Amino acid sequence: MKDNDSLYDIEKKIGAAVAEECASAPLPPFSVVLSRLSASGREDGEGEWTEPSVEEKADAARRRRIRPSRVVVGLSAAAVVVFLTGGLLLNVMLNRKESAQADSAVEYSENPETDGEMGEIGRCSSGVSDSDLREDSDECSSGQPERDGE
Amino acid sequence: MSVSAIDGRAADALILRIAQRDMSALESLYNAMYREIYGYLFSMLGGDRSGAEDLAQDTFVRVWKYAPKFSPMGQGRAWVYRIAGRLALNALGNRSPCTEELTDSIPDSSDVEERALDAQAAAQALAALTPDEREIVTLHAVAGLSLREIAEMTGRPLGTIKWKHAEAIKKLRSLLGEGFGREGTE
Repeated sequence: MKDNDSLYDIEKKIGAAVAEECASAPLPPFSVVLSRLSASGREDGEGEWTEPSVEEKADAARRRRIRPSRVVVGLSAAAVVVFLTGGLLLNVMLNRKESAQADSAVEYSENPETDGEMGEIGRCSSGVSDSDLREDSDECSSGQPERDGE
Repeated sequence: MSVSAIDGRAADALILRIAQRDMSALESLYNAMYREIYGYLFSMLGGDRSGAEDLAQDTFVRVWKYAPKFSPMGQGRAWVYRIAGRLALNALGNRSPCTEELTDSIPDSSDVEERALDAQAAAQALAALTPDEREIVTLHAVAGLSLREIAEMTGRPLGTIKWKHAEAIKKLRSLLGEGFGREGTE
């Protein structure tokens, strides 16, 4: 034990020990990796590994561009867009229906015949004084003004 | 202590060539990095040589497979370690906990103090750590990556990595004996 030993000396010793192990480890021939690569290709349904042609490389690059995860993300995004657009269209349709109903109500209130009735009812029943009634009796009576009697 | 025969940028260049399906680049990377990846996996797997060999070879199969997804930022070495680390963590996840067995076989601290730590004892001491701690210590001590690089590589905050690293060192000290390392700075 030396005074200049640090807390991390232990780490250095581990590193040195493993470095020795690494140095003495045999390097397996690269063909081992190649055969694993072929086996891995077979598992993935890609067949034995061979040097790909230029066309195959281009094709592989194209396939890599469209990955399943991207397809899923794209479909999800499309579904969200369709849902939102549908909701918007529904909303617009409902608004139109409501405004159409409102328009017909306006048309109803603008009808002169019904309007007259409503106006008369309003005028004669809304706290108008007796004297007012007398003055406007020709308006509120049933078409028999007092003058006629005179 | 780093056992690397290649730096991050050289590894980047090779991985980019591998992404273009250049098999000779994979062979160059394999020749340059196999031993250090083996050492890392040997430490991660608690001194299992055949397991480390198997996963080291598998690492390069995956390098070939995932190279098209690699984005070069001078982190080529760390990227290869990341692949190896995932394989090791998966392998550890499939194993039953064996910490007690392994700590039983760690040599007596007084013996260790007298001589250099051998690789098997080091790996067995590392096996007593949690997989997270083991990964950090191994990447730092064996791969020679800085704690910052480890944080970037594992996607964890630097503070967490520093804390876990310090905890791991304390555990190793208590496992291998107080005399193995003393308080001080890095």
